[in-house]
Amino acid sequence: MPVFLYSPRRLLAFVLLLSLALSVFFSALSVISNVHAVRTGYVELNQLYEEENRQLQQHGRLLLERSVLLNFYRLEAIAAEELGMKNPNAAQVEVLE
Amino acid sequence: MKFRLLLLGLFLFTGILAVGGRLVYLQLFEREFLQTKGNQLAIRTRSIEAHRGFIFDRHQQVLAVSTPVPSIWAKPGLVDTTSPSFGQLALLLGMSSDSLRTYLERYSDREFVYLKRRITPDIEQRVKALNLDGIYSRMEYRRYYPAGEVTSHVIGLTDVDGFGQEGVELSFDDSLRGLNGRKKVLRDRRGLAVADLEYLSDRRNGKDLSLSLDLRIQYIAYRELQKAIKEHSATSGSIILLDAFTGEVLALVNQPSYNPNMTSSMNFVRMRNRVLTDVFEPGSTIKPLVVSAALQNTDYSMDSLIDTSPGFIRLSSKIISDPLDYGVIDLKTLLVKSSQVGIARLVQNLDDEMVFNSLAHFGLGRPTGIELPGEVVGRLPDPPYMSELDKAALAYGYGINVTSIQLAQAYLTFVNQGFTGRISILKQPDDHPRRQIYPVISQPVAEEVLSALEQVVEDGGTASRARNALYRIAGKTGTVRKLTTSGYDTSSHLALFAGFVPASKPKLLGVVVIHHPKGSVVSGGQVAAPVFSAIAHNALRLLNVPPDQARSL
Repeated sequence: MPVFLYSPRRLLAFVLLLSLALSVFFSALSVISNVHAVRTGYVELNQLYEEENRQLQQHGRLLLERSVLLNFYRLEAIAAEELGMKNPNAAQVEVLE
Repeated sequence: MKFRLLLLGLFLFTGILAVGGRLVYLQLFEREFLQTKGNQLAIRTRSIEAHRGFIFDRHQQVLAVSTPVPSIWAKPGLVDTTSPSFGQLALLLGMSSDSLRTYLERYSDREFVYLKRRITPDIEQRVKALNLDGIYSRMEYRRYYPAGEVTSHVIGLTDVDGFGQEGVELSFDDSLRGLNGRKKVLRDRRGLAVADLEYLSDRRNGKDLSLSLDLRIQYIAYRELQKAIKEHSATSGSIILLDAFTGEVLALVNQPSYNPNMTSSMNFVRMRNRVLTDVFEPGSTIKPLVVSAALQNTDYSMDSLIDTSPGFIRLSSKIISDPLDYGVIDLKTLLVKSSQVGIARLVQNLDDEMVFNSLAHFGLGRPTGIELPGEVVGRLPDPPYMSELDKAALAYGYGINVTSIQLAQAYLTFVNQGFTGRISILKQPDDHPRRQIYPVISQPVAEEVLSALEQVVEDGGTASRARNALYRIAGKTGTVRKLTTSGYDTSSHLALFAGFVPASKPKLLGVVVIHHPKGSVVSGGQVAAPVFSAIAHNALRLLNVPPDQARSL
């Protein structure tokens, strides 16, 4: 055993010092992994923002397309011209209770 | 020899000392200043654009959408205006090379100028392909209104920067508008972002908005209004349709209208939401309000008799007359025939304050509070200044100014158990109870007036042309001579109809206003009432309301 550890106080000081050094070391390591996680997270966030934008654009386009297809006048024209549908007159309507 | 070596050593040492000293100085004392300067050059705050909320009708049909479209911008200092592709750029942007060059030179000290906003992706690609220095594109949101001119007065529009200008785009601008986020980016020498550094604040997208409108009914109303205006060569018109139970606006249309997708179709005449902004004298449509005030506050009943012989009365210098002498009639017949003499006689026996207060309680002379911009309040005359003639005129709807929406609110009382309702443009939850703000008339009075209004649309009533084969309609017509600078114009009319359908259990409440119909038919019963009937015929089927007058098994 090295001479400088013979006294119990010195031994205690050495252990403390060692544990502090170790904790500094490991916290440094975890800083590295945290920074890395932040970076990858940041990249991912950016990608998700882009994805969200893309989806929103697509959503807007599809809504517009749907509204064109569901246009009331268009549906009415299809019903009347292609399907030959008509509004029933009063004599043709029967109410089922 | 030794001396020269020493001198050289000294020289080198001083040099090293100077460089080292400068290094230490810059690092220790000037660091902050230099860092700021460097950051100012390389680090920029950029906004992350939030998108504006969508607007839907009550069945989630889209009424306003934002989609990103490219805009071309430039850093004028970097653009080489002599390059051969510069001419092509000008061509793509639809400008002449000279005017583009002058434009860029004028703003040469700027870092950012838009060249052309909201272009098609195709043009953007071709601009990018030119690969010019200092020319960039960015995405901007553009607002589309798929129903165009059919919904434009309700929805309104936004300006080029995305701020609401009219309609619900204006009144709900705060919640529709997104909050742009901010981020720090690192940029290179040419000013292009090379890396995102950090987010300063997150963006917040705008909230979607669900309106009470039913787009199908809106289309039907728009078409019927257009048809009527064309048929009668009228100048303008408007229709408001409410859900008679909840007070939600199901349709609100005006003619003339504008297309919010095309700025060129806009002018003040077309953009006005006439339902809210245009006042008119309500004419005979005010009579049910006066009669119900009499029923509510005096001993009059629907069977009370009034002598209208000889078919006219003289008040000060003016003669008020009916088309023929109706003789002695009850209040119900007074409404059905819309007798001017009858209502004038009735109101002579009523207290001025009472009449005034009742009309005010019905909501005339004050805003309805609908969530749309620009509503005007109209005008109720002051009782102390009313002459006998003024009072009689008031009873048949002259000398008072109302808007369509005020009239709709007043009529809502008749189907809201006598209470004032709340008109709203927002979709209410399905289980929403009816809104009863305060009582105006009692429920029996409301029901009596409603049943009298049903007879208006029977044979012999003023609106018999509004008879519908499937649904029974209740309502009141009005034909008003328009006030011009030289008094009332006998050739210029306003055709009005306010009513309910189906009369047995009202689902729709509508007010139809047609300005200045020309030709052989100009009355409310002939011009406005049939419009309501036509809308009812189509709309009630869509709303799954069973017909009143069909054969039953």
